[in-house]
Amino acid sequence: MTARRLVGVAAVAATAALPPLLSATGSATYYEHVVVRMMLMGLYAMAWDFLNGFVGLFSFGHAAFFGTGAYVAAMLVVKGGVTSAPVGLVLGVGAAALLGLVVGFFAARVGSVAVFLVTFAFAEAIFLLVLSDPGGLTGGDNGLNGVRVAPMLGLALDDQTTLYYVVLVLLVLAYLGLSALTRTPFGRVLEGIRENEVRIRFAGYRVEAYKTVAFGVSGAVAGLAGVVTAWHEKIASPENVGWALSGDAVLYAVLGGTGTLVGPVLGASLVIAAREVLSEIFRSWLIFVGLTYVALIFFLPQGLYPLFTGKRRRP
Amino acid sequence: MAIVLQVLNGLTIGAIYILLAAGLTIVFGLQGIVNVAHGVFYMLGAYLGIGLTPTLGFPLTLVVAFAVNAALGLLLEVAAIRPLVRWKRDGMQVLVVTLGVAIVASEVAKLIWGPVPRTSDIPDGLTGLITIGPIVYPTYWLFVMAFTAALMGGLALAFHRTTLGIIVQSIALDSEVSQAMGTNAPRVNSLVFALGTGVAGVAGVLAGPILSVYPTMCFDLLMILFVVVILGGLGSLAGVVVAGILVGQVTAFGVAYLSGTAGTILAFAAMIAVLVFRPLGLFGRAGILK
Repeated sequence: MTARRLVGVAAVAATAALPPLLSATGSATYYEHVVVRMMLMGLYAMAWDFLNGFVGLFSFGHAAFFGTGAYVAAMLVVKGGVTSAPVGLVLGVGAAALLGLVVGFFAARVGSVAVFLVTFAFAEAIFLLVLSDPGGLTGGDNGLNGVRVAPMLGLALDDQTTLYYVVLVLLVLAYLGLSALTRTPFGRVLEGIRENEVRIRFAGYRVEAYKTVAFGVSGAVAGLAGVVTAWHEKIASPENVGWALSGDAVLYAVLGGTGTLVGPVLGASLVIAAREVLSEIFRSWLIFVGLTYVALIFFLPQGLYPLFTGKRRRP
Repeated sequence: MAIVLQVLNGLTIGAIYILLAAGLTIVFGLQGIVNVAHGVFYMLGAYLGIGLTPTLGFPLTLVVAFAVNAALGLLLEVAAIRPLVRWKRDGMQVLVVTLGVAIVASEVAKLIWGPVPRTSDIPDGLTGLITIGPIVYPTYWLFVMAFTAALMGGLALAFHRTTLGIIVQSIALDSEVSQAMGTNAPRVNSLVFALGTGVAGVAGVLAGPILSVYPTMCFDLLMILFVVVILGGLGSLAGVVVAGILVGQVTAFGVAYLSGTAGTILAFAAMIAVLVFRPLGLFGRAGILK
């Protein structure tokens, strides 16, 4: 445990030390951009893992929460002229959490495989809604460009290096928060639902309510990743709501190791690094993504994380 | 008259939904899994339709599309799904594997046929319009409806009147008890899976002249198929027919009177409404929704 904590602190410290080192290379801006993306996607996949790894709910619509965060943040700035970052955070994360509760309300009432269908259908409906550009609010295919927020607490959020550290702090806080949550009585009930739902139900817990709230929490964290991504990329685009992004959450988490919260960050970093390299060489690099899915389930169903810790979570 | 035409349009599109959703829902009823790669067979059928109809003719193309897709479906089931089921892995893992297969297939299709959408020609003998009283309607679209009705009728007969059909029902009801009675559930499951993917291939050929054919079509129809399957009640063939017609109507009227995406969103809203009052869908049975 302590050794693992030491590795964690070292990893965070190394990430924090990266920007000054990168400035020695010629293309610091590019590398920083990629690392920020890794961290944000890691945060997003961590939100998915909270739901799948700890409650046993398989969502295939997490892009809906991410996209809600991104679009609310972007709409505030581009359409509303509100550049205040705290307002963007509160409304973006709040909207995503609310959507999480709504989706969770339905997903909590169907069987485990049907959760996949319901979340996917929800996300696709929202994707179509965004594409149809209701009232000119979402910008349709083009998305919303020019998302520049005002400084918050003296931090210039539209400066990439500043944002880099903000994202790092958010990622660490989200990890600490979510893992603390899993150790609370609430979190224990969630894990109980994963292990034996019927038993938890007979113990008197309202399983549907717990699942719904878990969806809300996961939606909020995914929404947070969406808000900050919109600030980072300066744009909210339909890709942020598309099913491919929902699939990415699954890929990152399953590759890194589900039920670990850290695994998804590892998975996101690896896939994004591979994407940067491979997409230059081979245009159909998605083939590798597909093959990775198949190979993982057959040969490494626990993901990469147990390889590092040396112990297996569940048989 | 415009309304009658929309009803007919809805029935035609609903027919395609029914053919595709049938395979998904039966496989779910039997094995409790969702095959995300189901759309791949639909896509493959559509491209086979474009490629083979000029040389083989339409009827033979339908047969070939069924055979090829059933064979590939069998391969997928035996090679990828059966081991996971035997190792008692959970249903999510089947989802992830079939999603991977779908992504690879879609990318390979893009490499072979290019990303540009195509449509296939209406087969000879089915071109032109039919006049029924005041209504003038394309012959081919009516053919699609009639063909679907015949195929689904045949499937229903097969499930209720043949020995194999009764065995399939017994497995859907309780796989373990059925196997204790001496049925070979894994083999039957594979056969039914192949039947479903074969029908999806046929649906692809049929849809070619009506909808456009492109490499990511195997994903784009998934959402509406899931809506049909959930609305009808997972595992229910009758549910798929009713929900397919319903969703077809909603889509057709949405497209005609609101906008292209409005129909899909309305269909989705219908699914949510049904889920609130009947979480198991219109024809879903308790216990089957695992």
